[in-house]
This record gives sequence, C-alpha cells and structure tokens, in this order.
Amino acid sequence: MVKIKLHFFASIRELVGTAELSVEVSAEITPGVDAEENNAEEKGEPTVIDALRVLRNTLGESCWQELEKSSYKVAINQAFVELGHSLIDGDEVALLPQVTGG
Amino acid sequence: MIDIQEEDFDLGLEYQRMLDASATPPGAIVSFAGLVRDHMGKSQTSALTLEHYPGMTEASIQKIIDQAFERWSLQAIRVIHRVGRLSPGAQIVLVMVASAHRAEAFESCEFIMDYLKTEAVIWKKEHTEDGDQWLKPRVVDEQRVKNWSK
Repeated sequence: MVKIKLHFFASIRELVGTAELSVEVSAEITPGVDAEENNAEEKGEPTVIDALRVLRNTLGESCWQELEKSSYKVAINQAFVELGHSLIDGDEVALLPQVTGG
Repeated sequence: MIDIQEEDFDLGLEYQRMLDASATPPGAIVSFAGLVRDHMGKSQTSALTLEHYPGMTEASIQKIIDQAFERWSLQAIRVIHRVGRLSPGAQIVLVMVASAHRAEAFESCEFIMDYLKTEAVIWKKEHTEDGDQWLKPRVVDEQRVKNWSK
C-alpha cells in the first residue's frame, strides 16, 4: 500500500471537481495489460494502473467514462510515464489533458 | 530564460535585456509575440484562461529551448508565457532569439513557437457568449512540428 497524491488539470480538474486527491493504492494484477507494462505489478508494486483503478472507484462509472474520452497523459513527479510505472509513497501523480499552449 | 507569469511583458524592455546580457553583440534578434484573437471558432471570444502546471511547464519549455540550442548556433533565447485570464488583443507569449546571423534566428524562433503549441504544458480555455470550452490541439500545429523532423 502506498499513499500518493493525484493532481488534475484543466478539463480533467473540472470533470473530477477538485485539483488534488490523496489516495491509498495497492497492487492488483490487471488483466488485459501486456506483460511489459505489468513488470512492476509482477513484483507486487502498485502502478499507475492501480491508481487509476482507485480513481475510477472514487469517481463512479459515468464520470470515469467521460475522463477516458479525453486522451490524457500521466506524469509522476512532473515527468511523463507509461501506465505500468510503479508508485512509491509520496508520489505526485498528475493527469494531463492534451496541451494547447503557445 | 523562461518566465511563466500573469503580468504583461514589454517587448522593448526584453529586447534591451537581451542586448545587455550578450557577451558579444548579436548580429540578429528575432522576436515573436502571440496575441489573443477575438475569434477561435464561430463565436466571438470574450477571453481566454490559461492554466499551467508549475515546474513541469517550465521544464517542458526548457526542453524545447535545449533542442533549439542543439540545432542552431544561438546566443540567447527568451520565452515568456502568460497564464490567467486574458482578453482579445492581450499578449500571450513572447519568443526572442539572438544569434550571429538572421537565418538561424528566424528559423529557431519559428521552431520554438511551433513546439510551444504542441509540447508546452499549458491549457487554454475559451470564453464566449455561447459558453466556455477547453481548446483542443489543432492538426495544423501537429503537422508543423512533424515538418521539423523531416
């Protein structure tokens, strides 16, 4: 079990209704994810996928489906990561919608 | 140097700062200032609100600047990106590049601006009479970035 903080931005922040959410995440094998992404899970470490599962349970299905429609990227401690990336205590996990700067 | 700020910027002041900071006088300075348009789509734009991720936004812009320094022989790069609520006509973004010759200054300024559109961690919300909406990436911007890797 690790304690992390989820951060939401722009359209996702408005959808979720808050900018930050502290959650506890534990590892669980996720079917349908390829072996490479599951490496961390094989070692019993929770991953971004586990954090998203916790978020899904927290938000409810309709809100989650809306979120899934927006193609977002995930960053841990301000660096982009793949969904199979493992989590440790205190991680800042951000969901970033597609950027539109300039 | 990068600044993410709510305050407006002064083009003349930034130009002078770039000259003052140069060890040897540059042969060329190219600057681009982006402003809020009054139309993004069909409706009249009353304002834009820009949001960023402090720390990660600066890092994403630094990466673009590093790439420009690798690709061209440049003396200095200055980027200012405003955030918060901005009205049509307001300045949003400044890119200023100093180099020995004009070609690399023109090219790198365009390169940085193109990448700011697709890589800088910033989000724009458009406010109109018909409602508010978060802007989506434009295909034309993605195409322009692809052209740089040809």
